Amino acid sequence: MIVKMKFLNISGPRTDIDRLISTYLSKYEIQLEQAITELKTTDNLLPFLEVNPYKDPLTKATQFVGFLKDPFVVPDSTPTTDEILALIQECNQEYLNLLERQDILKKSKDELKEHLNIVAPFKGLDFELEKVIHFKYIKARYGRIPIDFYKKLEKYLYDSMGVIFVEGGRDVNYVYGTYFVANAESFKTDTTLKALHFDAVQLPTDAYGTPQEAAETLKRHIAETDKELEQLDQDISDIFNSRAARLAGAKQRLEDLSQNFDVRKLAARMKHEDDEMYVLCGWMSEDDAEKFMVETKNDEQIIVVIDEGRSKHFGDPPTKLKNPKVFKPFEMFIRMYGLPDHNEMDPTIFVALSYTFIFGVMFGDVGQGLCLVIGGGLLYFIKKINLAGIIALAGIFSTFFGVMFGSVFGFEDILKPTWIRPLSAMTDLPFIGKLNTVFIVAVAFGMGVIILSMILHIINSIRSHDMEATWFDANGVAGLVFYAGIVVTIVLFMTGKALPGGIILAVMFGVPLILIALKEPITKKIQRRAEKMEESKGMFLVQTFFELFETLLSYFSNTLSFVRIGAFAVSHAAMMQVVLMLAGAESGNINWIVVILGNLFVCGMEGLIVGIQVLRLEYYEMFSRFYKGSGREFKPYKNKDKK
Amino acid sequence: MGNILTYSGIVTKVRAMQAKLLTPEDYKNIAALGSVPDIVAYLREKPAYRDILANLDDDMIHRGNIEKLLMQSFYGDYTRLFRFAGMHQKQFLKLYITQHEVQLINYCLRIVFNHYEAPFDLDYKKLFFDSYTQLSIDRLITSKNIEELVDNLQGTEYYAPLKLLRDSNAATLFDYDLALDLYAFSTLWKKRKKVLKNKELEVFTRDCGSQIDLLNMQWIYRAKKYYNMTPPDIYSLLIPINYRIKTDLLRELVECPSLNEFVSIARKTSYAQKYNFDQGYTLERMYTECLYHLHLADRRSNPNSIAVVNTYLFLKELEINQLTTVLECVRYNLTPSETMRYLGGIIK
Repeated sequence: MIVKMKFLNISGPRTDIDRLISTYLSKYEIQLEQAITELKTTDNLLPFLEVNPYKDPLTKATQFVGFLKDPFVVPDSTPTTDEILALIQECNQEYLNLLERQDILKKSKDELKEHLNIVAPFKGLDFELEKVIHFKYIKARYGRIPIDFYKKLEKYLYDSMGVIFVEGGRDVNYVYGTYFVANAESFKTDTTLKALHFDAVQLPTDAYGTPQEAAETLKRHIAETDKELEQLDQDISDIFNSRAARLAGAKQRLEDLSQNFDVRKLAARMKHEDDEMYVLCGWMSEDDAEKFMVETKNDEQIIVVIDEGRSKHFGDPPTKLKNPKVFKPFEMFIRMYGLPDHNEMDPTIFVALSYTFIFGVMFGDVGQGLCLVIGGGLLYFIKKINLAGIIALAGIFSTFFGVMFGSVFGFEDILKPTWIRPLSAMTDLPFIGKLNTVFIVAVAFGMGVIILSMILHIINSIRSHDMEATWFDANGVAGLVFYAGIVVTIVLFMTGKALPGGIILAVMFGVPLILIALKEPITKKIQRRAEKMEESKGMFLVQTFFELFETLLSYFSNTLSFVRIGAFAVSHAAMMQVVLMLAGAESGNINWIVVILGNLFVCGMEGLIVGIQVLRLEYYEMFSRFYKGSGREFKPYKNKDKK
Repeated sequence: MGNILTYSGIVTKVRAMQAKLLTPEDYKNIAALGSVPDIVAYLREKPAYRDILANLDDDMIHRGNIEKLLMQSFYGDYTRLFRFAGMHQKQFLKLYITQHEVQLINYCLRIVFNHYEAPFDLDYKKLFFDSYTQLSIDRLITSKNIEELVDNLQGTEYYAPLKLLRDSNAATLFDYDLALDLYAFSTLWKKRKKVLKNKELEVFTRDCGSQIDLLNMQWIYRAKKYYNMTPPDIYSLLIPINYRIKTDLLRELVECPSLNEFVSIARKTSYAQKYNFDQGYTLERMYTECLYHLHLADRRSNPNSIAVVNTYLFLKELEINQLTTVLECVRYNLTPSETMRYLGGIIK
């Protein structure tokens, strides 16, 4: 069902807007519209230009709540707004202080790491770094030299020079080490080694002992810094965790406050004599609107006006669906296709019944059906997944048809079929021959569904006062007469009864077809619209012919499309037969693991395919005949369910 | 003889191309010509240069343009050999062309370092380098400074050694040149074992090793004669490979105090023993002559091997160098006998 909507205008003194929202509007579902654009007819409307004071605290609060270890802490909602703001301020101050410290520590850690990188390659040197530097008669130089040049040094120069090179380690490109040279020789040696691209390294001042020791000391310092950083993280998290409940409460409250404040974005203000007034407008369901009127009657500050001539100024109302709880999950399918327009009928119940019914036929198995009911039901009630609810309902029909077909987890010999066995029941038809009974029943059912869809289309068209669609459309009365005529003829033929006379047939088929073909000019004539035809007569005829051809084809293909219902009923039985064969049911000793796995596989796979196929039937075969789905969704400004 | 099947095709092709090389007679004739256009006219009669020079307009006859065209002739020969070669021979040819890649990068380095106004006159090399080398001239010529140039080499084998140099900052053009040359020779020396086997490896090792030895000697000589470099500096620019000159001998060469002593030590090398070092031979001439004889000997003793291809390419490059020299001599109005002296009497 579609809920009736009312368009409300609410106004009052400008300063009163917050009270209005928190005391009244937060209780009701209302879809607020942009007042300035909606109320085009009213002059001198101005926008509210106020900065939301809660936005900043809210982002901070959201960030802080993110630090909480237990995100589901029970919020403490007692503090007042001022207390909340103070709390956020306080937390933020502490947080920033710690961040600053963190920054300093990180920097010193980077520095230590850098020093480590300098010292580490000299690991192989087995003496204390700073001692060597302070030798009196010998100079020591730390550095690195490219490997190629190091080789040259070894090969050609080393023997003839008064230098000792101690290698500390090497990587792909460089040899790291120290060379020692007597003071007197130092200048010559320095130039020589410089020529060989020796790159002197300034050792960090905080490196003591042997390089190995220095590296370890540095590593220890880094580890200590890491620990401090960890402690700091802990401290930061403590700030927030010690106030967990209050913060969570603050966040919630701020969200509300901020959201309420943002109502201003949709509101307009207006000069009224000396006072400034606010104006809000939006859609509310009829019941809510009445209650709201009663509640605000005694409030002198608030003026509420229900606007009856809504469609003149404010466009179509949004669509809000309201269905019995059992059918609620099926609203998902409607949303996927598009919500009904405000004067269209809500197809939810129709979908719910047809979907579950067809699913049941295609997936008839008592055992698996019950599994679907239980599994789907549990999921729906625990996790609130709409699809699970749909599956559970569909499972009921599965079980029902399982009884009809006599199938339990694929075993066909436990239950006696109440109706038929889809796989083996055959019917003899004239002209066509022997055929599975379920196929014939499926097509017949399809014909019924198509006729029903056409009737629904006619009802919808009458409601929207669309004469062309009511009478001359392929789904209108003309189409209905034509299609029903064909159905009756086929039924008569198949059951072996005598067909009506040729003239009756000609009238029954011919007249509606001509009406469908010429629907546009006829409608124009009746409504006395003197529009000229846009194209030439020849073009019109060609176009009409092909359109008619397409219409006929679609009657045919849509009808045959329903064969799939029977086909899946048969295929389910066949697939289960294969499972049982694999499990060795024929030889007597059944492998139960294979039966269980096979059932799981068939249940999952067929369930999925059938679910999709039925949805396809709904959308393509039925909706395309009567349903537009051009409505827009009712999006209340404040959703009560959220709380 | 096992190679005869593999090599019969390419050897025949090389023979045919070899026949088009200029003879000593030709050089004499060219040296005797009076002007550059005359030389062009003469070369137009020669099958090796006929097609390439045919497109040259008379008003475009200029030494620079002619040199570019002569280089095209080498690229043409290389292309022909490459297309004709099998997988294995292609690998060798790729190794061979690295020398030209290094030359190209060095050229770019010079331009970038010296901030020339109208840089990168490389269009004539583009076609060849795009098809047969890992360098992309289109990318290289967009380089504005050394950083970009090194970046543009990304994806080639030269990127790693140059990047190392770039990261160490204070590097000069000389450092880059040197690093590149050292890298090229070291990889050539390393890769030769992968590309070649057995006898071929032996032959190539001799050619390549001798070239490196001779280059090292040449560099030491020049470093001493023109730049007065100290021994450590000289060591740093040597190719770190010894072939026939042992470490001790090389050290003596580097550390000897004067050029005269250098010459007397150089005489001890096996290269000087083979080729007369006294008759006014410069080191440069010794270098060319040694390699020339070495290559010819290789071809003679291994007529069915990669040596034939190697020798041909060597001779072709030599020919182009000689022609360039002759063109310069003629341009500056040297007498034929002087010109022939510059040619070094290698072509007897």
